[in-house]
Amino acid sequence: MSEWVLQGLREGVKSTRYPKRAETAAGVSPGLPSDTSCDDPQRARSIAGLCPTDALLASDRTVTVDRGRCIDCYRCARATPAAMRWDLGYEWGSPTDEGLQDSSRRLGSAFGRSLHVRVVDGGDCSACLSEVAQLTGPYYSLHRLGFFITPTPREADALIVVGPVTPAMRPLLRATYDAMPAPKRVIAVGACAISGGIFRSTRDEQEGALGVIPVDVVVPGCPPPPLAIIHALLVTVERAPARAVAQ
Amino acid sequence: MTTLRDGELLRAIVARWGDGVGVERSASSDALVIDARRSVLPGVAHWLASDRQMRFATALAVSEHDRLKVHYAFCGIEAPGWVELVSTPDAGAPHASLRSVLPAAYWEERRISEETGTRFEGHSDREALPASAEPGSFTMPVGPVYSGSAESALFLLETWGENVVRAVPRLFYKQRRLERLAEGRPVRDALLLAERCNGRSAFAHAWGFARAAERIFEIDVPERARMLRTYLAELERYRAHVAVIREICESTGLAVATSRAAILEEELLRLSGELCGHRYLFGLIDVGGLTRDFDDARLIATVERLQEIHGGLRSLGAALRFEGSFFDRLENIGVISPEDVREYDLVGPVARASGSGEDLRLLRPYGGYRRLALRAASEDQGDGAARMRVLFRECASSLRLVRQVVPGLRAGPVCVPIVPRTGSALASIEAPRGAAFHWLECDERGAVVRYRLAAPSFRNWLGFHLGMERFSFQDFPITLATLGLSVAESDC
Repeated sequence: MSEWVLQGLREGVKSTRYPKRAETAAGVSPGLPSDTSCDDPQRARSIAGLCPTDALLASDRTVTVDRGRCIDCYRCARATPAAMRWDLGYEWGSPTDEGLQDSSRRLGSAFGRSLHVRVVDGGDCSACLSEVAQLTGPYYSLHRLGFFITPTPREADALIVVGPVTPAMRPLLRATYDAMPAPKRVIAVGACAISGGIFRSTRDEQEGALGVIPVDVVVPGCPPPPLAIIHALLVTVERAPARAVAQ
Repeated sequence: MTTLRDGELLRAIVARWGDGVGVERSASSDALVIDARRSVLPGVAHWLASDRQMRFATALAVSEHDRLKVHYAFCGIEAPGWVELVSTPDAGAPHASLRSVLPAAYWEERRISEETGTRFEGHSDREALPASAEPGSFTMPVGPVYSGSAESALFLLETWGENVVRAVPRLFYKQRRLERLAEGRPVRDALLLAERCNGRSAFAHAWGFARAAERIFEIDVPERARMLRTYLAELERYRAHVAVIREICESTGLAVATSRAAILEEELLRLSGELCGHRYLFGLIDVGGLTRDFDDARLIATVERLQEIHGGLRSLGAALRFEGSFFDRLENIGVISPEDVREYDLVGPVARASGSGEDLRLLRPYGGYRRLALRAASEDQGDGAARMRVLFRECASSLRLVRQVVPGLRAGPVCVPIVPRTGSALASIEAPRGAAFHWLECDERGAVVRYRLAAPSFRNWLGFHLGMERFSFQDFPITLATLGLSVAESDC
């Protein structure tokens, strides 16, 4: 048994310093495209045409990004000549309009240092859940920030939803949300939960978690890296300023 | 090269089954099509699977002249190509089921009947739980939303307290119907769906899909792309196995080991992210090759870093081996016998832990595997401990493979343009969880007409109950973790 203690000590401290300091290690974020201007409208249209999920919109000489739809296929990044600017950051959590306006849904300051989160899998590909699982590992050590994953909705203050929310999962997501005591907030994690992502069918406009329960904060990405999910949690309890993200 | 379409198999079928079957070579694919009469259908299927040693891949419903026919696909182990066994029902009668001779066909048939409304003989409308044989027991549901961050799935545990009689999985809450969504999309867009069948084995499934499309378009993938695909696939396998090892440690409640495995997993994710941008290797495979090339020096640096990480994994493995309280919880739990593995056609590390030596990288080599030295990791005991040993051994072999790729790399293109054409193809791939079969049909514009992804988890969940009989409650999460099954992959 003592051997394990020694091994644990030998590993040293691995945890990121974020949010006190920016994390600069390589490979912590897959990045997302950012709004980009180019030489002529023709080129802007052809770049926007590369996107398989209609996340890019060309208007005159700029290509704007609907980040909630981006699935990280890198087509616009790898086009030649190089096309979209790439944001390699991770502070992507942003409140939805409804989440900002409805003050009754805000969590009080008491939740700032102790937030319990229930995770619901609405049919993800397991990449988002894998990133959520990394949160409690040594590198991200979610607990140091006062955030805890809880197995019961009764103890949960916030709900993380991943996946496009399949028809079979809709009533279950609703039931989980209803079982949570108020005030409560919902975080849609990943392109699928926000917009349906690659699984969006053209017939149904409202896909992802937004069509089922009220969503307060969204984190784009496919999947959003652990640091982006941490940022969204900080935004949820108003410990991080919500960055205006181009929609 | 002889294929299954060539004479020998055809003659053997006609000699043995005579008037009961009609055999022809498919005009649009590599397949040999056997139209079997209802009376001989199960016999032919059994003969293909046992006497001819062919692997049952998947089944597909095909509408011909307003009649629904079921095509069962069998892969040959030696020769390329495949056999399609076609079952046509008598008017108004239900389809014959192959369940009794080929248990692995059962879920494939159920899937078809749910999608098309076709009825199969011997299937009940709604699968009821078998009546309990144990007086005083009750059924306890676990899920579909349960635990910290588990995938959505429901487990029905039949129990009378401390001991569980059996556990029955109820899946498909996560069904995204990606095969349906793929229909009508250009192959390059449909590939993105295949990639997101399972995020932890995204590269493998994207490669499987690309292989099927490349077969239809008759594309020769450039040598450099073939070797790089092999390199990246082994990097993914390594990380996928470490993730399962982390889950096994977590299920036994060994906190330090869980943390150490989580450190390795995150380091592997960062390694992937650093090498190619994406932590889960999304957006790399394209039909015809890869979407980008890699610098050779970067590939070598990645191997060196992987070697360092492997040092950490070996020391974790050594520490676990001497931890009696850990191994006591893995040994003799969730035992699956070699006979069960054969009968249910189980695949991947789960099968290899029960004495099977089957690995498609060896049996039907593709990509760079023809040129690389590899031995299947096989164990005999078939319990949780054996499954974990297989994972550790396969991590070591993935590292060896990645090391072998780099010295042989030649400069050259990594992608060739595609010229769409109509046709269909069946491609197989050894994904981290086992054999996956991609059955693809395209039209002349290169859009998907039909797509079927028979994932390893779909196959292995069918055998889940084999390892889930008569155990005590606390063993449930441990057995579940050692089986390493994915719900997303099965519910695609």
